[in-house]
Amino acid sequence: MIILKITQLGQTIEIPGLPTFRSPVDIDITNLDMRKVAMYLKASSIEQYKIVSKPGTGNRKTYTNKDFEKRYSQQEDLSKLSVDKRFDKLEKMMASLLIKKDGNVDSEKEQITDKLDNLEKLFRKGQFQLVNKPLPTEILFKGDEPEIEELDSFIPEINLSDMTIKSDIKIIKRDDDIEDSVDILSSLMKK
Amino acid sequence: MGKGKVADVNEETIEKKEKPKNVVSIGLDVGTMHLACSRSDSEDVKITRNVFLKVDKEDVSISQLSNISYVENEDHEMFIIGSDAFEFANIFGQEVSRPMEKGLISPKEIAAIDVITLMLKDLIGDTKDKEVYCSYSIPAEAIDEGRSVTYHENVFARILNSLGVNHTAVNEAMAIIYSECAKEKFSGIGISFGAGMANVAISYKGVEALTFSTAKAGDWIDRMVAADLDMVANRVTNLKEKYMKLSGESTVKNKKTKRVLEALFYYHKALIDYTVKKIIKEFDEKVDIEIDDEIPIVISGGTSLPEGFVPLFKKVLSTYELPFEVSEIRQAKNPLTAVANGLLIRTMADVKGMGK
Repeated sequence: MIILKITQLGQTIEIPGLPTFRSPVDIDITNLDMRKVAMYLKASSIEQYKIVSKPGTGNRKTYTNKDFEKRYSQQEDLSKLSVDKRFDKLEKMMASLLIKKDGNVDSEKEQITDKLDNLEKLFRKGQFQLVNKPLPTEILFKGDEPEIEELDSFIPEINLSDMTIKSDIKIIKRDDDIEDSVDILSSLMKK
Repeated sequence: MGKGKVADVNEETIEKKEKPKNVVSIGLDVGTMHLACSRSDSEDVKITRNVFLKVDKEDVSISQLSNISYVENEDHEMFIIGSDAFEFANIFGQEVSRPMEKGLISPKEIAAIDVITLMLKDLIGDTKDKEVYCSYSIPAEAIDEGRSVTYHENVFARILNSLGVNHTAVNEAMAIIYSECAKEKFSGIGISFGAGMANVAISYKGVEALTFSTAKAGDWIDRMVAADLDMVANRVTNLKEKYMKLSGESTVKNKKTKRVLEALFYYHKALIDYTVKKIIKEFDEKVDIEIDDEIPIVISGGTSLPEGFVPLFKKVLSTYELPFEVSEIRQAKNPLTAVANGLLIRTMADVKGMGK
């Protein structure tokens, strides 16, 4: 039996194959692909979780999100290696161009520039691959986050500066003392 | 988190950062018929109708203007808002404009977002020099209607962003459980019979086991009755709110009104029956957890306001075999403010968890 234990609080999580649930939670994921579960957790910015394998008897195996992060750091190393190899190759080519005695200097300059451009592109490509790192923890409340420029351009602005309101608000007194409810809910969410 | 983040580090910035801000929690119920707001720094729950009526300013006299609620924009367009919109619409035999329809932002009303933003700003009140955290209500995906809640959720996120409020979306029916089920440790079934949707949440110890909504609710009743009796829907709403008693008592003499009340009774019963069937079906198909304890059903929302609604619900429910044990069926203490209160409780619990 494989149990997913999420300790991060107050997140609504959707994983295909399971009903939508809210953390903290312990949930049976025996029939699901563990890597896919980890992927969906990552997409939901859930980092505080454990996957516990419970065989009938014997020791318990515990996986944490760090086990899944390994893959990403390995990918990171691979892409760095690839860039380094190409850089070495380019360095050799540049050296061979420079030691040519009878070559056209302008043509050599042009070739070196092209190669440097390619190197820059390669390096950028390498950087994009590195973005595959675990996502940062999502904040519970969103607000004042930087806007994405492309997205902003087609969303109409909400401008209230030229609008006036004479309002129609009714006031109803709250009868309950809500502090007790807050305490109970808060303690349940911590569990 | 709040507005006023400054990128350059200078003395003024440091001074600003060091000044502790008052933290205010808010519960904001964004309903099809009502908007309601509950704040942690006040015992008042503020509520307004989520409707408006566009009128030519020339059609409204200056003496009327002093008595009605309205929004006016730079183009001198005038929108009568709140209950006054209903009254004017009924006088002129018009339909009011609704910023929301079937629980979601209306696709028909171009002016809706600006008008609703101003109404929300007015409802939320003072946020100056405060760190404001708000949970706002969203419906669950409807099981009988194609529209997704994504656009709706993001539009309200953007509105709250524009007002400098930190925000998170919370399911409307879960808010009823937060408001009404503390003594059951937040285990229960919350049903919000609103105007645009009926929202249902099944919660076990504060954890959502199932949420869904149906697009049949108060507006559906009004539309059906209006179609059957050849009337405009807001006239039906008006009669429903003035005279409807599902207990059967009636002092109404007017024959046409009696017909309306009779039709309203049939459709209320049909709505309850439809919702109960869907709860049983969804529970059977989607809930994996075993709920051994008896759990309460809490009914809320404006459509549950007519006298006799809960007894009628109990009567309809008793004709079905349920897949869970029910301890009690009760109405929320105030069906119009329960969602806003529940959202406030949730915000305060979240803020407490953040160590604020």
